[in-house]
Amino acid sequence: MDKLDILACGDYYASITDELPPADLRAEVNAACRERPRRIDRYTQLALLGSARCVGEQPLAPRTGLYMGSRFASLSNAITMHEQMIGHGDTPKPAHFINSLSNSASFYVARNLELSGRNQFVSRGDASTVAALQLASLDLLSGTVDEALVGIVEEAVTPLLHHSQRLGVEDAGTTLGEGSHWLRLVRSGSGAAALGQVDQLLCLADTDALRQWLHTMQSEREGTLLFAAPTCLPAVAGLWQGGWFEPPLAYYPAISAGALLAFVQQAPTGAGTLLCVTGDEEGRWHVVRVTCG
Amino acid sequence: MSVALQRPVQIAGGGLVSALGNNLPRTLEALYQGKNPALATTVELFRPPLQIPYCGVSGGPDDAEERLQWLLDQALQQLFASTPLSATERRETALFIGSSCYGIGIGEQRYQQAWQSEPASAVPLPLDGFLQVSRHLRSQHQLCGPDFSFNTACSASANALLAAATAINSGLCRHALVVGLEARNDTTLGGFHSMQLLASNGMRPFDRERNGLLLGEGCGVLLLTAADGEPSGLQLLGGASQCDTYSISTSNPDGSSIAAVMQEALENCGLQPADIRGIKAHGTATPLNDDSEAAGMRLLFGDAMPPFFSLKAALGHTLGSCGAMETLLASACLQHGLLPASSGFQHADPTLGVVPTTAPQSAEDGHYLLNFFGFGGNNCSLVLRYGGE
Repeated sequence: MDKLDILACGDYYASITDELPPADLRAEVNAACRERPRRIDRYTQLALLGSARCVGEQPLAPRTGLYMGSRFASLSNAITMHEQMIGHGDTPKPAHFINSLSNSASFYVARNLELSGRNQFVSRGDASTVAALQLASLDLLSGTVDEALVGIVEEAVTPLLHHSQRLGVEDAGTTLGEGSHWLRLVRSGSGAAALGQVDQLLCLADTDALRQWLHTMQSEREGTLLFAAPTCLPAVAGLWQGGWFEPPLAYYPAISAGALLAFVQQAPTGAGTLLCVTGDEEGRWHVVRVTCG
Repeated sequence: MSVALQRPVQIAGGGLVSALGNNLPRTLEALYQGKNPALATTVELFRPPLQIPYCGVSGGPDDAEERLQWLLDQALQQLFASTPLSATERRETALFIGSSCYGIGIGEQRYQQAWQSEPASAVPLPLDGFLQVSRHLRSQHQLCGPDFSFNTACSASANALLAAATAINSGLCRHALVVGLEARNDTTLGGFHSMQLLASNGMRPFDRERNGLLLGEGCGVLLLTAADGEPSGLQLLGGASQCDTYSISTSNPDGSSIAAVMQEALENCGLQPADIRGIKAHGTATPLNDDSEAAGMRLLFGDAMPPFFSLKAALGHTLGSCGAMETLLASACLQHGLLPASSGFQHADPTLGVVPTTAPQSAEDGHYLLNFFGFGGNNCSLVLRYGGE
C-alpha cells in the first residue's frame, strides 16, 4: 500500500479496577472541547476527549473524513438501557436510545471539530483498529478525503467481573482498561511534517501467513519491534525472534491503538518500526506496520 | 480539490428477504401490486406491552440468534444460486456489513433469560454484538476476507456499498459482499416508540397525512465485482457520504445538507442533475425527514425534478439494512423497466412542493440517485447506472 503520514496523535487512557471505576470525564471534556454538548454518554465523552487532544488548535483540512472504530461502542449507556428494559419493563428513554447508536459519538466529534464530510463507524472485534485504518486508507488513497481523523474508542464498565466475561478474559489477574486513541493521517508526500508513517495494513488468512509476514518484516528492517495484545501473545510468541514493544497498558480491545500511539509518541531508543498484530477467533491475523524517524 | 472520478463496479447478483416476500422476485411482484405487509405485533417485554404495527418477515425461527442467521442464509442462498463463487473466491471476498441491530436482539434475549433465572448474576450485553453477522458469514459460508461492520444508523449498508466500491477500485479485493440486515428486536421497537416516530395511520412518505414510520425486518445481500472492460447492465457508479451536524436526529430542514450530499455524489460520478432519470428517496414519512429531503431535492433539481419514489411503506423502515435492501429492490425495478408508484402515497402536500410517483412508469436506461439518511447526521447518496442487458 502507499504510505500514510501521521500528522498528529492524542489520546486518553486509564486502567480500571472495581475500587477505581471509570472516571467522570465531564470537566476534562468541557475544558478540551469547543462546545459543551448536553445529554451525551460516557462513550461520547471518551471520543470527544481523545479527538480534542489529538487535534488541539490545529486546523483540519476542509475535506477531512472521520473514522471511528470500536469492538463494543457505547457500553455504559446501553447497559443502563437494557437493565431498565429487562429489569423494569421500561421502554428506552429517547436520550439513551439515541446514544446507543454507535455513530452518536462521532456525530458529536464532528460537531465539535466542525467537520461535515465522511463520518464512519466500523467494528471488527479487537481488530477494529485495523478496520478503521483500512477504511481511512481507502478514502485517502482514492482521493475521497484529503485528511483522515481516525479514533479507536473503548469504554470500560464495572463490575469488572461482568466486563471480563464480556471481553472473554478468563484470567482474573488481567488488569483491564479503557482508551480513546486518535490519529491525523494524510497521504504521504503532502509535504507536511510527519510523526511517522503507516505503511502496511493487512488481514492475513492464518498463522502460516502471519509467520511468513513476520519473517519478511524481521529481515527487511532493523530496529523492528512487535506488539501483540495479551490475549493473542501466546500464539505469536514463537513466531518472532526480534524485539518486543511492551507499553504499560492494561487490556482493552483498543490496546493495539494504544500501543501504536505510545510508539509514535515515544519510540524506544534504536527502534524505528512497530508491528502490531491482533488475532481473531477464526485464526486470522490483522496487522499494521508503523515507521517512525 | 476535485476528486478523481470513481470507476463503476458491477452489481453481479443479490438476494433479498423482506416483509413483502422471501425472495427478490416475490418482493418485486408485491411492490408493484401495492401490498402492505404491516401486521399488528405485541412487544410483551414492556409494561404495559406495546401494540404496534410492524413489517416483519414471515416464517423463520423465533430465537433471536437463529432468526438472524436464518435471514442471512435465506438471502445468501438466493445470491449464490444465481451467482456462485468458488471456494477460493469466497475466502478472498471482502465483507461490508451494514446493520442497526447486529446482535442486540441476541443480547436482549440472553440477558432476559439470565435475569429470569438469577437477576443478581445476569450480565447485560453479554456478547460481541457486532461480530454476530461476520462470524456467521465466515463459519457457515466460508467468507473469510477482511470484514467491515458499519454502524451509522440508517445509512449503514449504504455506506457499506460505497466503501465496497472503493475497496474494489483500490485493489483491496476483486469481489465484495455487501450485507444489510435488520432482525426484529425490542430495543429498536421500544426506542422508536419512545421517540414518538411510529406512525399511527400507516406509513405515507411525502403524503400530507404522513405522521411517522413503520419499522421493518429483512436482509439484503449484493455481490459487487470489478468491472472488466466496458461495464454493462447494473452498476454502482459511486456516491457520497457526509455528516450534517445540524441535529443528531434530523437533517437541516432547509435541505442544504441533503442537496450537498446529492451534489457531491453527482460530481464524484461526473454527472449533472439533468443526467438523473429517477430518485429512490429516503422517504421515511416522518414530517421532518420528508420536509428536509423535499427541500434538498428542490434545491438541487429545481423545476426539473426527476420522478422519485420511496420504498419504505412497502418494506417498512429497515434502518441500517435499507441501503442494501432498497438498492436491490430499486435495481430490480430498473431491470424490470418500471419505476414503482411511491408506496403509501395518496395526497400531495403543497408545503413540500414535490410529488412522488403515483403510478408505475417506464424506467429508461441511465443514471439513478438513491438517498439514505440516518441519525447522527449521516447522509449518503448513491448513483446507479443501468445500461440494459
